[in-house]
Amino acid sequence: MTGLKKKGGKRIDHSYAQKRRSYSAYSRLQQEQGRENAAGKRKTSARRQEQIRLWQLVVSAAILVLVVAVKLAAPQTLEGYRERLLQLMGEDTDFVAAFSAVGRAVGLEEGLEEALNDAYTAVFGSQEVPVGPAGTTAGLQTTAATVDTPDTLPENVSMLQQVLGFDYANPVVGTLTERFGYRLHPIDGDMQFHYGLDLEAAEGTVITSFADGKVTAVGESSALGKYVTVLHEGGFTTLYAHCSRITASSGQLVRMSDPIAEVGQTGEATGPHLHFELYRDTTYFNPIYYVTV
Amino acid sequence: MSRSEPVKIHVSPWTTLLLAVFIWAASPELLAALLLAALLHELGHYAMLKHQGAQVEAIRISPFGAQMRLRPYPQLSYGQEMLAVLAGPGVNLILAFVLAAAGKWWNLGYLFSGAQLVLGLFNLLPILPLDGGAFLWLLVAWCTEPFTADRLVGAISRCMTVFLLLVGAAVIYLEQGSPFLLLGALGPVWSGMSEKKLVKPRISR
Repeated sequence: MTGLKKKGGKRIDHSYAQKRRSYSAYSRLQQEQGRENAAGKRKTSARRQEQIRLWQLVVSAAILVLVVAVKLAAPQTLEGYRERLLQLMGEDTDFVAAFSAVGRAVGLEEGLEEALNDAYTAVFGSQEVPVGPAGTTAGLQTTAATVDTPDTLPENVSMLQQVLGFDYANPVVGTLTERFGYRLHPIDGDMQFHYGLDLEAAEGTVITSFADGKVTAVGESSALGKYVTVLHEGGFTTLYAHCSRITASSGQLVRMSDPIAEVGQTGEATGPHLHFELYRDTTYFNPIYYVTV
Repeated sequence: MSRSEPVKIHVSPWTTLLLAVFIWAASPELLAALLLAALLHELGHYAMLKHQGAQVEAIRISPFGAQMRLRPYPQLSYGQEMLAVLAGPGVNLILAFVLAAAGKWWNLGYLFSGAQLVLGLFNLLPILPLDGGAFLWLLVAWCTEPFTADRLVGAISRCMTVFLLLVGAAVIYLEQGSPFLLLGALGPVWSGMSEKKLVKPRISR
């Protein structure tokens, strides 16, 4: 066929005339020619191809229907497999955040550079925080710098690890589901700073005090749900939110690892978890340095 | 012209598969944003073609958009066809601004705006199955003739594809991003390859 291209000048002219003037007409012509050629060569296999194509369509349509049905009927079933697949793919990409950052740039909500930075972070993810055993102080400056996009931190946040000066222990045994830093709010849908850690655990799991201290508040709010705060040495306060039940009472003195509440999903929560904050005065710190996950 | 002849619609089996994977893995908001952008993009093309009096004979829906086959007559001029090609990305770009403005009152506006912009700009890449490539083909063919357009735009498409793949691979390697991202770049290549099988010029008849 390549030989024909060189020899058959007349044929080229003929076909050129048929090309007409338009792209769509041109590609249509070529498609038809291609189909005729294929049919001419393998009239028998054309039928088989048709059959194969039909089967492809039936099978993939069936898969689509299945996925939609399972997703609607039992959303949790797919969750496990999905997470494993995403892990396998090294998925760190938050497309929703990336597209939203582009949108904000279009709306001149934030500078182009800032938006590109956000989109980039969303696509490639920020560096993982190396979570050492609780109380590790090595390399605190460098880890703090890579935890988040540091140029956009709210004023009331310090990413630096603090020397607490007292013993402390995990408030709950659970899996870390949300870090300290900017995240897409699961209910509001926009970018907000998350001032604590989310530790997922079964409803009713006992929450214990982070360290020795005094219960300063037991309360309930629309956002935090049922919550309790404990004041520790040096003015540090810990907050435990979304509890199903608070078992400590205001003013009570507690020791490290004393039970004070139980995990729940009160307030703005999408599942049972402990929202854990660490702050002093008006400055919030990243609790990740003091919690083993 | 007979109005009764229905538009044939072919759906590539890969489309439903891709949609299934997407429904499985992505959030409904993201899916809605992307599907809306794709739908309005194609409606942009379709509306402009209708406006110019062209008759759509068949629509083929593949994972990378829809291709419309026109009836041979009435024949569109180069200029008309260029307008029809630009109408799709044009709709996306205009809506990107409208939705971003709506973002002040509607949180998801930014997400929808971003999807429109990304889809619109992606389609303007000068790679042949995409709108940017088709526009370039029409432009070159208008100034010279279809054979030159074929060779020139074909070469540009291949160069751009290789370039984008290399840049993508380099960024993913340097940033340790997910290899999943390369799928986006592979899309046009794949679609270009399947296109080639269909559209390869047959000189002999």
